[in-house]
Amino acid sequence: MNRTLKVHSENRRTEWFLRFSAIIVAILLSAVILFMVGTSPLDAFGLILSGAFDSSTKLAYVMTAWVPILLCSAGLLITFAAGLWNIGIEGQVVMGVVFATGVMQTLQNSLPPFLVLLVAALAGLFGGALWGMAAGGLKLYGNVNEIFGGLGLNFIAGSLTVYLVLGPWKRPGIGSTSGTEPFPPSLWLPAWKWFQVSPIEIMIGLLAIVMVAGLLRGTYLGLQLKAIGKNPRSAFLMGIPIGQRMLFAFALCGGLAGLAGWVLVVGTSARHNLFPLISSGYGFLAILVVLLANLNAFWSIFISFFFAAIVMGSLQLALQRQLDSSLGGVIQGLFVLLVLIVQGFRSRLLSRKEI
Amino acid sequence: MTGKCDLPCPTERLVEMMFGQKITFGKRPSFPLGNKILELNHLTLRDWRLELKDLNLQIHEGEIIGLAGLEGSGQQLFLKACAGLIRPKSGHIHIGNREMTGQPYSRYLKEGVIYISAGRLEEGLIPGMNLMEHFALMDRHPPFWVNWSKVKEIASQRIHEYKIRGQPFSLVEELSGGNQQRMLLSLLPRHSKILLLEHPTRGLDLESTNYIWQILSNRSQEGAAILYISSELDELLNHSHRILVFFNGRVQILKTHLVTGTQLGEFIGGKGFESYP
Repeated sequence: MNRTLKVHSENRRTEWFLRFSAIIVAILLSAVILFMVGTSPLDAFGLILSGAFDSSTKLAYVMTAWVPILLCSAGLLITFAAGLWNIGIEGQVVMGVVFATGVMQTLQNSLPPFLVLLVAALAGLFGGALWGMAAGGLKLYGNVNEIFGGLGLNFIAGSLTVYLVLGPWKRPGIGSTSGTEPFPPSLWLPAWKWFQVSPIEIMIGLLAIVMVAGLLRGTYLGLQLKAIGKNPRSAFLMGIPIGQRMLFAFALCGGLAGLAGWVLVVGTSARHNLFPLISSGYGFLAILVVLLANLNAFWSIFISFFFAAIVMGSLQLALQRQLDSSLGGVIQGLFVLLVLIVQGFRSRLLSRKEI
Repeated sequence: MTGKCDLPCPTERLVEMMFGQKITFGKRPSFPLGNKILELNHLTLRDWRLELKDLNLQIHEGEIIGLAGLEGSGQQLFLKACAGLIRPKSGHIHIGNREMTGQPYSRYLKEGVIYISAGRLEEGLIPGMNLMEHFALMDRHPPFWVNWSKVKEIASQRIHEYKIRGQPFSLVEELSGGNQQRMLLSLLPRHSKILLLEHPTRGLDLESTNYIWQILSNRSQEGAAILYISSELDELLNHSHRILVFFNGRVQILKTHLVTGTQLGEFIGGKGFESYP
């Protein structure tokens, strides 16, 4: 037993060492790329950092991006545990926005603001869950791989927003892709006086990830999802209703993504309306977060914050150095890619040792 | 080195040196069989290359039935149909007095039918999960939260009972083949009525094989009917009440005490298959 524990702790140390090395290499490679596009890496990294943290307003924007990424990451922890690649999460965020916006437009003049916000949150959750279940239904009953089904559903959700913004929900007298009529401040989440961030959205994000961690670690449902993810055939033979559980995973992930969509409308520093591409790739970014965190809920909190900081900070590259802000995405991608390469390399080494 | 023996050395002596103890091979338990538990009427099964026609069979509580034949002669097809994993083309399956034809696998599971595949890590255990997690998953009426201390207690008890060389936190893929098979059997619910096993002792050492048969014999004495596929003639003859031989889409039912090993081998190869009464 002691020997087993020793081997496990040695493995864990090696794993952390390799991860740390991957991050260092990712920073170095990012520096090389920045150098190749004609900018000083130190200057660029400095700009990203200052763009994210040098004022409370900028930090507020980071927090506003962080919560949707965190909510999507929480959802993806569930689907990844069940072995499902929920690429359709982007569409689920969008459907959350659409449902929340629809409810708010309908109820804003007939209910008190806090009730409108509450019903809109439930509507966002429902919209996302519905879209998640659509991807799950396509997989289970139509034999459509969730990756392709999800991509198709993302496209439909995106097209729906354009239709709504230019069609039934367009601003009075204007047909513009800038979005629908913004909601009044009474329908924004209340912020701290000294900091333009709502404690409610931060609480929701953190609560979601804690609840998902609890679900996966401490409940039979979580255990069953993990069993399905690791070996669906054995799970089926053990009597686990894998179809039901997969649909549940999609619905829950979609629901959390839909809630992220609601935050994108009512969050303090949001634009408070529906516009095309409102999801801003946060769903896809959350996939990278969860992969980088190796499906660990605790680390997802910090990595999603780090990624939100890069997203907001890298806007400065465009504003101050006329560089493309997508360089931030390149840096994030490098981090994930290198950590995955290191993981693959390590498991290959381990399997060779076992042979 | 555990010992030394000049040739010709008796097998028993070699086995004793290898395992550090004498291994006495279990025989088929002799006790009166119970009520009819599984009945197949005019059952026809088909997959993409094989058809088994018009099978009629009654199996009783406590009965052990061996399935013999060249690999791919339909034994697996038959076993999967008995578990509800394959829908029969025609005919009827009854468990007890209940009509089960066309019912899903989950219904069979509820009726106490358990299927254990030959692929222990592919279709049985879950690599990446530890022993404790496996025992937790087998709880048929679980509460919402897992009571890990209770599960650990159950796991330790079963590990001891089934002599599994592992710890509650050991991953199943770290166990040896024999211990994986013991693990699979330790996961069987107590109320199982029919055990369907593909090659339960394939690739196992003598000690593990013997122990697996001790467990299965105990289950049969408790009233479970056991149907198993095997390629080992001695195993089929020693442990089965009856043997079903599959050849060329046909099934012959043999009473074990009326056949010898040579005859069984010939039947498996198709010799005398047509003329057997």
